Amino acid sequence: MDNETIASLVKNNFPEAVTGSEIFRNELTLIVKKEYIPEIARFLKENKELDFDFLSDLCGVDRVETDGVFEVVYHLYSIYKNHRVRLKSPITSNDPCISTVTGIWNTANWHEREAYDMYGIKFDGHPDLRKILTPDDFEGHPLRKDYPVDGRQPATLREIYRKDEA
Amino acid sequence: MTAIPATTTTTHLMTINMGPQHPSTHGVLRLLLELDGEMIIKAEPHIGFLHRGVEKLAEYRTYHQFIPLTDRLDYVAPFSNNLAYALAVEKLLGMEVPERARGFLPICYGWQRTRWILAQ
Repeated sequence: MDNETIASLVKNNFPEAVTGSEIFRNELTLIVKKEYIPEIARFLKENKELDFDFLSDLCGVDRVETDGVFEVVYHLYSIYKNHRVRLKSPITSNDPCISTVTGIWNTANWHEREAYDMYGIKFDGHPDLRKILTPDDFEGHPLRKDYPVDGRQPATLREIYRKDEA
Repeated sequence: MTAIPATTTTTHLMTINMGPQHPSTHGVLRLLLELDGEMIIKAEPHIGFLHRGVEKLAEYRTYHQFIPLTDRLDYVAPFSNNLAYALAVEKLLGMEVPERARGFLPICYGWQRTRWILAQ
């Protein structure tokens, strides 16, 4: 199915949810309100024409400086139909939370944990929302733009292994 | 030899640590295994030991400066990451790649893949 057909099919079924769409380098992106994410995700997966059975990536984007929002991006692929779509959902930066899609694509479990770890985005209804990559005592969310690029924790290994030495 | 009833083993579940310092995981993965004798009842993976935050490092680099870092994403297949990165940047910028380079990339990729398969 080509990009225009996918876009119009989603827009016709969810006229109030899709706030924008864009085709760049032949890749379709739909901007979706965050309240509708579980509904649209289920529709994309269960519709026989679309059949998006594979969530190939889920990630966060920090747009706080320019737009005051975080974005959650879903990259979907249909193995049987061989087509792709990208969903972007902006969420407010002061309370970044969005519904989980773990119940729709199981693979979202670890991806959402990563987005939580890296950006502090909370996924409501996630079965096991813990940090995944950073150590337990790591503070902050390292992929946020306000986290310093040299923000190593702890600053040196000496602070762990030789802290008794002056 | 008397048979040991099956119930005796289930009362002694043992939790052991497999990795990160384990020959098969070479430092990337730790599994918390719950064992009933030799049977694994539960395995809880802990990842992130090789997480170095290359996305963060990329924030302050130009497209060219980031190429050597894509090598380090997977040390058994560095060129595939170079290739994926280069293709993404070319697509983003809408670049026309010379024919000679288009032929060269798959050769390079095939060469490094073969070399690593032979090394294992």
